[in-house]
Amino acid sequence: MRAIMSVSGSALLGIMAVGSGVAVAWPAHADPATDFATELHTYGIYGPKDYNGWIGKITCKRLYTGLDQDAEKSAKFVFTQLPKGSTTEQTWQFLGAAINTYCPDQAPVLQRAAGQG
Amino acid sequence: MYLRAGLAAVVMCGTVLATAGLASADASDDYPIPNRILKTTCTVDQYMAAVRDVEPVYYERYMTDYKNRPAAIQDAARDRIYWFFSLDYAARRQYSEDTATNVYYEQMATHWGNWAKLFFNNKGVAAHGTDICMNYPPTDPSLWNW
Repeated sequence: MRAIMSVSGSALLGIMAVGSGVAVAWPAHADPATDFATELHTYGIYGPKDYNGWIGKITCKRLYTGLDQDAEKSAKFVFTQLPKGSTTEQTWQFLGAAINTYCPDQAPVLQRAAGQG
Repeated sequence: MYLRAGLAAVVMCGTVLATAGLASADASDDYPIPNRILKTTCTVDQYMAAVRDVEPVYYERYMTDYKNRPAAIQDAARDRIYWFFSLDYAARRQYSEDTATNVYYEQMATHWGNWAKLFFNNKGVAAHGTDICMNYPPTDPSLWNW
């Protein structure tokens, strides 16, 4: 923070412009679990917000550690955690939302799966 | 006739009281250690891998707690749970009895109260883990480095 404050005004604007794509309405996103839950609701996935948040984060952790080496394995993990009766579509929607929310750098995993499909 | 009924009542009453007295002190086949853990033939690593996959939040919390312990406590907890899993059913049942009747029996618990939470504290987790643990490799060092 201190480093950013010491740079010139125009450089700061540049940084803000670059950052804006990632950090739109930053204060409203202070709790990603809330946004995550809101997105899940649009897919008809309910359940405790904290629990779903945990599952989202753990899904990312499993991708980072290589325990789940592709999106199929991630989806299998997610499906096991969703309420009984959840659909394959909801599973992939959850996975997509989890990656977007908690580990966007893992998005290529989804792209690879889509390419194979 | 009345005398006999009265005697029966006294005997029955006595039985109930005696049973209640026993239950409050002794272990059962499901308490404090779940029956599934007493009976499973899975290794520690197999069970942990299963819980990681089917009860991920429980596993995550246990591992966070574990990582917050000093290295010596982590080592001791690992050694202790591998020792427990090396026991047969009868010895595990005896251990369950010993820990139920003497709070100081398990020294590990005085250093880390929840040292065996992943294994002993939740019947549902134990059931879900032991349902599928046999499908995992017997040894997987990555489980303690989560």
